[in-house]
Amino acid sequence: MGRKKKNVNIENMSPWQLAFRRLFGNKLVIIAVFVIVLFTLLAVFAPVISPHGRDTIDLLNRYQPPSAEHWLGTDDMGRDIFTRLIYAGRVSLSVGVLSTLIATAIGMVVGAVAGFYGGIVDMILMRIADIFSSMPFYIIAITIMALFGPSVAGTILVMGVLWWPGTAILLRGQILSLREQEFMEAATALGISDFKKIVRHLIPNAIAPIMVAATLNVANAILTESALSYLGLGIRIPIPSWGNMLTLAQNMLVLKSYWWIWMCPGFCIFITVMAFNFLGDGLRDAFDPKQDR
Amino acid sequence: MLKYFVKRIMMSILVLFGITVIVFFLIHWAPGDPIQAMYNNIPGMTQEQIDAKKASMGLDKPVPVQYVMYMKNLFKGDLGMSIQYNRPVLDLIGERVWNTFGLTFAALLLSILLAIPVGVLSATKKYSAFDYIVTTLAFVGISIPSFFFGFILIKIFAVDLGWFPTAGMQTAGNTFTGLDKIMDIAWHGALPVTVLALINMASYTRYVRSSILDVIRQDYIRTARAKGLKEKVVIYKHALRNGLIPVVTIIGSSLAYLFSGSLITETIFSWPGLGKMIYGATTARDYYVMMGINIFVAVLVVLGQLLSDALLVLVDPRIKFK
Repeated sequence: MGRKKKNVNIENMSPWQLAFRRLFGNKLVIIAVFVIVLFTLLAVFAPVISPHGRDTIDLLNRYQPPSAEHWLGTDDMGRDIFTRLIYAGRVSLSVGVLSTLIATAIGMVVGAVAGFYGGIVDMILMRIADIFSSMPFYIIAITIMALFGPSVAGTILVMGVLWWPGTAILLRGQILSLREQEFMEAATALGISDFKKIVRHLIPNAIAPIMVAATLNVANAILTESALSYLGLGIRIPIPSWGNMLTLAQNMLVLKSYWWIWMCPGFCIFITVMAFNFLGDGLRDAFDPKQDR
Repeated sequence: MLKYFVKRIMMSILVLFGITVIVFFLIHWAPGDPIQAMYNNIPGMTQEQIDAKKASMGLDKPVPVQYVMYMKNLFKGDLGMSIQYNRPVLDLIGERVWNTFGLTFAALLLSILLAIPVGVLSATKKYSAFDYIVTTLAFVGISIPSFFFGFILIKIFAVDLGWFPTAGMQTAGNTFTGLDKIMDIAWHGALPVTVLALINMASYTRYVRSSILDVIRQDYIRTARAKGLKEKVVIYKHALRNGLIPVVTIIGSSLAYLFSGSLITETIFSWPGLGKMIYGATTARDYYVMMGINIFVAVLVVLGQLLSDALLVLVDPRIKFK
């Protein structure tokens, strides 16, 4: 009985509903979404959750191991690690998401224009995309951040401005094949404007792979932000980020004896990045069930 | 075919040219300059002296003029002088680059040698316990920050167990020669190479696995099985050859990625390579060293892409580029 009812439902579902069904039938995706939501909530409600101040220095309680008072111990200045971690989550998550939004937006505009108009416009835009994707990212990022000084906005912009070619090439390819299909001929016959053709008809048909790429891009951006901040070139203290909290591990004594100071931020980066990677992979499988993985 | 590669090489030159323009103007328009960075702490320098020093290095000219001068010298193979060390940039890069190359290629070789058998086994035993462990560990590998992984290894194997040194490339003040010297460097390099190799292996394994999975559904594999060939022959002779084609291209284009990854790993292990150099050069605003390293790595990226195209033709005769 129950099974039959299920089948009827599937037949009435849109491709999007089917994709979401497949997505949330994936246990790893559910865990990933749970982790992302949990970390986001912790970051948003940081001041409510923690009784300690983000930068409150307490020199009498330096290097304290985890306890009831300090859940994850204290650092070299006696600051509460748990508190700094959830505030750092604000920075790391928003840098990851915002830089992805910028890169995806630029990439979509460039890709749509190149794919739709073709010809010389396409040639020039794709060569620019080639130049950007051939840039040695870390070297350029280190150069830019060191020259203009580390900042939150700078970190977001470096990744946003350098990472758009992936989305652009993806969307261009999709539009090239969609452009020739009958529904576009119908659109032309109806006299719809180019802008409306792109925004209403082409992009919605190509959005699934872009969402997959964007999700994986967030994972990459969080990883990169942490590396830049670790090097002292991304987010700089007193603003905590998971990456710059790990800088303390360069001190041999911290590395050897005070594991909580560097293990906790390290695991936060690792778990968050892994969650976005799982979500991205899950989205890909859900949108493209034919693919055998 | 030849026409394709000529076109491809022309395009690469255009890309490199674009990169020099962007980086040069970026560096010169950023606040701060090398003379100020050098003489900031020296009292008694008059503005006239600073200006004279700038003029002697051509730094008083407009940026576009400086760019043309730089490019002229570049075509003669002259990357300029380091303002910080007063030595040719090419020599400075030459001294350090082999340390970075050593690290990169050891890691590359190790990750390829591990990823291929593991990826193939994981694909042929799809959904087995082994496959689940491999795919999970591969996810761990692509999600863990290299510096965090490095710290974990240092903590366990260098600090707690004391098996490996925590930093550096050679034992301080050593007089080793020949084999002893090589062993000493290998001993110091073990941990950084492990970090790079395992992280790199994670993404290679994923590629090998999905590529083999694609191949073993093909008709000719079914034919090979139907002929009664042993499963081993089917997989390692028929499937592997075609399955590795996409992997070859990935290796070519990931070379540069691996190379810049080693720059970060270098800083954790105090490995005397290019990574430390770019960092020092940027803080000192040592223009030509910054330019030199940027161009050097950009050339590497472009060569990696060309190499992967060429390799693709070599291993897959079906491919005809237009």
